[in-house]
Amino acid sequence: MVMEKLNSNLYLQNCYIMKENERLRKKAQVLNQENQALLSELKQKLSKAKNSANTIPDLNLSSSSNTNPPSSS
Amino acid sequence: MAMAVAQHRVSSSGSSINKHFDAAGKYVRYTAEQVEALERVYAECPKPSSLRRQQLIRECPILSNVDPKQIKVWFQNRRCRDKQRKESSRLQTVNKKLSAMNKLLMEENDRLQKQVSQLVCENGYMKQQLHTTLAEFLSKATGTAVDWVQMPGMKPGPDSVGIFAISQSCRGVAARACGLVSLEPTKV
Repeated sequence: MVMEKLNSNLYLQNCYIMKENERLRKKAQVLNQENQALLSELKQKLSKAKNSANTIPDLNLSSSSNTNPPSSS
Repeated sequence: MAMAVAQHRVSSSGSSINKHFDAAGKYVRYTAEQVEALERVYAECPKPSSLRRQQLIRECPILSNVDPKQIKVWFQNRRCRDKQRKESSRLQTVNKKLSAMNKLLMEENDRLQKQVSQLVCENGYMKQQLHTTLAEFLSKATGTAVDWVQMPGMKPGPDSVGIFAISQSCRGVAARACGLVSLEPTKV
């Protein structure tokens, strides 16, 4: 009779853990999707930043490229 | 008293069923030879008929002093003991299976919890990265000085962002990126 009670408890515990694992699996799936989205968002921003760094002149510097060089005559 | 003995069903190592009332009314044990003879018949026939039991007594002189009713009771108890043993064995088997299942489930649970923790950490890290990268982009485009929120161990500036971009295709992105910029994931 002790064994029967033990088995009942084990069985119930197993059911509980199974449900819990399923919940965690779903959570991991959701997080993973979120992370993939964040990652691509990050990639986008990085490539934009890289492009702007390469193509758009840093406005913090004096815009010497736009002015005519002083002519020497 | 006799009835109580007849109804007595205990599955100890056979000692309880191997007692009977003798002619003098004393409660005595079956001898080893008697038990042996009885067990032999039980092995070939667990539920012998009345006729078979009578034949047994005739064939075994060592059982001749035993009341036929006691023989009948012996077989009843013997069958009962078998049932109890089978049930006990079954319960043990079930217990083993449930315990093994339990162990596997706990291990899986542990693994999943770690996985979720890792993902939450990466998630948080990337969100932070998005904010700082955006600020950096803005500072270059508009020439506006942006206050860097200094994180412990993190190097501000394009280097850290560039390193992150390199490792993005690998597994464990955040952890590796964190390592490269001297940032501990757990402290993020």
